[in-house]
Amino acid sequence: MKNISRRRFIYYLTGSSALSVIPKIGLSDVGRVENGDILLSVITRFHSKNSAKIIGQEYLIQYPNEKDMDALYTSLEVVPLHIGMEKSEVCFCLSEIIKNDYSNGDVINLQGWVLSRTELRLCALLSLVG
Amino acid sequence: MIIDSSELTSNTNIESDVCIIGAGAAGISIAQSFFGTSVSVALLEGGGMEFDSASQEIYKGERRGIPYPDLETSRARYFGGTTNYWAGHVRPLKESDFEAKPWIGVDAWPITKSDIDPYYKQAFSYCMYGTGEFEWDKDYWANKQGITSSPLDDKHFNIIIEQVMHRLKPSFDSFGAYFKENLENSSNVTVYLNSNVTELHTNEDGSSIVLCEVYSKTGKPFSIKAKYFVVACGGIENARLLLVSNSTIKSGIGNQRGLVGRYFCDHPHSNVGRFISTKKFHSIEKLFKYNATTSGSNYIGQFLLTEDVQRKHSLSSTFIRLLPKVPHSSDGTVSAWKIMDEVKKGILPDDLLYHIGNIITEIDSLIEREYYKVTHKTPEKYFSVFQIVESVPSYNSRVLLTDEKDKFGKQRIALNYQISDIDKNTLLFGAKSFATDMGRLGLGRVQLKTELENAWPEYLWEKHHHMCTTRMASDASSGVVDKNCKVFSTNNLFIAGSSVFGSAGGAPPTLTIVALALRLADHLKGRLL
Repeated sequence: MKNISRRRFIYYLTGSSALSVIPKIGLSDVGRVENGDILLSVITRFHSKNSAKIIGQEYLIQYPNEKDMDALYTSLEVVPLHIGMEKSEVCFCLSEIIKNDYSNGDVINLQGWVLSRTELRLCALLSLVG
Repeated sequence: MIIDSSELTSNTNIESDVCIIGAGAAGISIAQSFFGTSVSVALLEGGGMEFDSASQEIYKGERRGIPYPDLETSRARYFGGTTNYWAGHVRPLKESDFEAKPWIGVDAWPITKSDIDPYYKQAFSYCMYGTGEFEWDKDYWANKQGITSSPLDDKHFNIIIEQVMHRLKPSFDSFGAYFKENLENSSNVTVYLNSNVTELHTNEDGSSIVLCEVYSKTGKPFSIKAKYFVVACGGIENARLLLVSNSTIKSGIGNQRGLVGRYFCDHPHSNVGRFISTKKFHSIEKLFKYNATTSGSNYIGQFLLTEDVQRKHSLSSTFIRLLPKVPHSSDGTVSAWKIMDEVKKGILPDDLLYHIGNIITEIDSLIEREYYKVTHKTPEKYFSVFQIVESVPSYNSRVLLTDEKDKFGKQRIALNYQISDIDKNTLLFGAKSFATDMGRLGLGRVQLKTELENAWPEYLWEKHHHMCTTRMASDASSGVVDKNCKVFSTNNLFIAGSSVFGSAGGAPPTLTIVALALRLADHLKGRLL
């Protein structure tokens, strides 16, 4: 099977399909947002593209060496993804990778938020796509 | 019968079969056990029926070691004891709480859970003032919320149920209030209010207590002679009374090996972060909120770090409680309850203006809480993550006497509170594991407070659970009392309360305090009846 192309993956990503693997927090507004706590205001709308982009930007500030679309795409370990997959299958694969991140402790502390490296890289990729 | 010791003639000598010093959860429970028997009981309370700053002042003490709440305000010196301040959470200890934890240097208790299991149910009835159901199976309570399956697993945490006595229903706000009528009507139990015990006097070799020296509020001396004495003054004051009772045994009663006051423990806790849940969590969310039972009590699910994880990572016990902001009581909500309680009785509280002031200044929290009670919906958008840690007993964490004296000429205490790296590791590991578990299970995301690692221990709070200062042990080399709560060195002296805990355990202490007190009462009955 041929692996999914970066272009196709980004198509999925920008179409919000991949983002749906990041749990929808289910709250549209957090109400009183503490000063400077940008993430709190966006993580509650994590499923929105704009929110994810801000998360991605924050991630890239912490990890500037990943500010490269090719490198990010490679690091996402999208090997299980292949052409012919339905969007839902792509989401399922990514969900499993994110789950494994948490199981293996491959998490990043971003302003205190404990987040999967993969979900952050998805957000970072999205922020680079623009 | 309840009398004020000021009514006694100076130098009165009272004789009874059992003298209980302290009318808090433990002391009242023991006294209640003797109702209707042929055993005469004198129950001495240092304070009166209501809070009195002059009495409370006896509790002043010096704080050393890591930060700790003010000793005068972290316990209550009037009828009902510190149950007057109690939040009402109950849960039995687990079997493992009684066992040795060699990976963190914790000794086993000289009893097992099976020794106090027969007393937990009655203790529950006392603590919940007759409400609630003595049921701890999480599936039972989950089913009540319509939860039949759960996405949770037991990788790091077991789900446990804690029950909460509701301070509005029924209309009792302390053990004192709940048992007052019984005590007033008892023919064999006499409560002596405002009775300040200054010393227990022993025979020459210290093997027996011969009398208890007491002063009324107005300074009138009197004494109690009894076959058995039970010290039930609370986790700090129990140690103090033994230490100041040093006329014959200079190191203090039971302190021949210098262990009285040592191993002071609490349940340090903190708001470690916040949890934003996913829709997947919503299917089980109800279990982790305060849910009302039909009898007026509440129950709440919590996350307890598994014993396997504790052992594997050299940690103590810890549990996590999710708190939407509103169910947390404020002074405003307590004042509202107080007024409603009194109005139901057809009266108004004496300090009405004070309570109205509380309500006005905390009207927001009151409205939010009432909104929650009616709708079970939280106006806020996330849960606070509260984590409670079982602190590991440390030899250097101790209550000791200072040179300063109280108005009765007895030395005040200092608390040198110490916690260990194990406590810190437990808190950090528990918080991080909870965060990754919620992510792994797709239940939500957690933001941990950034100061958790760097500002230790300043961000900790204490639960005012004063424990282990006269701890129970298999022999006198490692503790102060034996498995029956008898002071090793003294034949007729027993201790009741959390000071006898062998270790802090991973649950709120009150239920176990009462269960142990009831067990002690049975032991004394065996000697007397």
